[in-house]
Amino acid sequence: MIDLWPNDITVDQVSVRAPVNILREQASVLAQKTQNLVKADVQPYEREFWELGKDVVGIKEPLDMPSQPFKYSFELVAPVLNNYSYLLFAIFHNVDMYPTQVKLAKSLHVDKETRELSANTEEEFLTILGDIFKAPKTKTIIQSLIAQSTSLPNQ
Amino acid sequence: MLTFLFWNVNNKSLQENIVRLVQNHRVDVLMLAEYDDTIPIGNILFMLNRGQESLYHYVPNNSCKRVHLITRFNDSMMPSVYEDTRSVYRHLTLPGLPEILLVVSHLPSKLYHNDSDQISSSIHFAQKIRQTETQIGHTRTLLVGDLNMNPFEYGITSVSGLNATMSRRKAMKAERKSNDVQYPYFYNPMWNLFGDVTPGPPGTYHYNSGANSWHIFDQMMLRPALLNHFNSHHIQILETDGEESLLSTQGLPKQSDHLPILFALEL
Repeated sequence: MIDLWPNDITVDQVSVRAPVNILREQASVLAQKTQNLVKADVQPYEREFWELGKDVVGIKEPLDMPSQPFKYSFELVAPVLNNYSYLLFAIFHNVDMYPTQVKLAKSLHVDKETRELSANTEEEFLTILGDIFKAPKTKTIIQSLIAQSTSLPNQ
Repeated sequence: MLTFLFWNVNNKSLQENIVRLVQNHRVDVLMLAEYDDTIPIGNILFMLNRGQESLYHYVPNNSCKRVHLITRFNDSMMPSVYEDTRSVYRHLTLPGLPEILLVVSHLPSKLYHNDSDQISSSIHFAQKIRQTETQIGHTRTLLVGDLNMNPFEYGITSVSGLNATMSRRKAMKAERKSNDVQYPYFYNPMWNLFGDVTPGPPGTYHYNSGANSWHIFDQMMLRPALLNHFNSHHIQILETDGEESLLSTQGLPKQSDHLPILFALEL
């Protein structure tokens, strides 16, 4: 059989990282940093979840489900607090991954313009993630979850 | 080898003992009963994970507040199959290993339930375990917990109860028929740990009630399908956490009124 496909289509030569894998890596880093007291859960973002979360994310219109086929949520989870979870943001993209749209939780954005961010490259996506993770509100939530998960001093 | 530790800590603040037990015995699955909820269990997680690369995970329950699980595995590898207020049923699905139904339980106390009550609850419990085995499609079941009965009591040995036998050979027959119904056996190795001949204390729980004040309420038992993975010598009642004795100078449980049990499965 004739192989009409180019030689550089192989599993070994995939050098790009999918946004969802970057989120999972960061989830793992957070778990390590907080000794598993606060984890991050990365899940496919389903319509039902979207409907439930629309007020949190700040989307008012019921039909405002983004059209991109790839949708993931990033939630902070505190296992010892009965798996309490806090939706931080969600990402949406098409098959070619970029641009990736990032919709922030209502508590994280300051106005309509900052509610929805867009990354055209992996580098831009990493910058946006770094900004979200460094945001005072994010740190407050994580510290609050840690404080409620333990009573040990000098952490 | 998967290492399990169960301890009823009697609502005492024993975090340091617990952490030492887990670290010294390289425990994979820690199971606690009567954990005082006013002391965040996150403390144990924090102490275990401090400075470690390989982290322990807390496995949150839904409705059961009587037992707590901390494991080396992400809780996604032990999904909940069923839960009630006294027991959790987790399906241990570790990569490359046979799946195991882990049932961890704290059954009703003798302080508030008479023998008949305990037998009734055992029958119901055994039925639920069989139903769950049917649901998940195998009988590689490991039952652990403070059953508040000795291995020789009816709730543990009766055919419609847990049907747990002291004999490995008998357990290998898999089932016992009664009134035309087949009931699967559990093998209960805890019988071997009674008295002074085996290493360790004479029981897991001490209640000063006469000549035989030692009891083995804290037990592990397994279905025949897991027997090939269990060496009867790989179970012990612990009398030290590795640094501190868990027994008083009179040889009685000191920190909690129960002693921990440690065992391993060869998987």
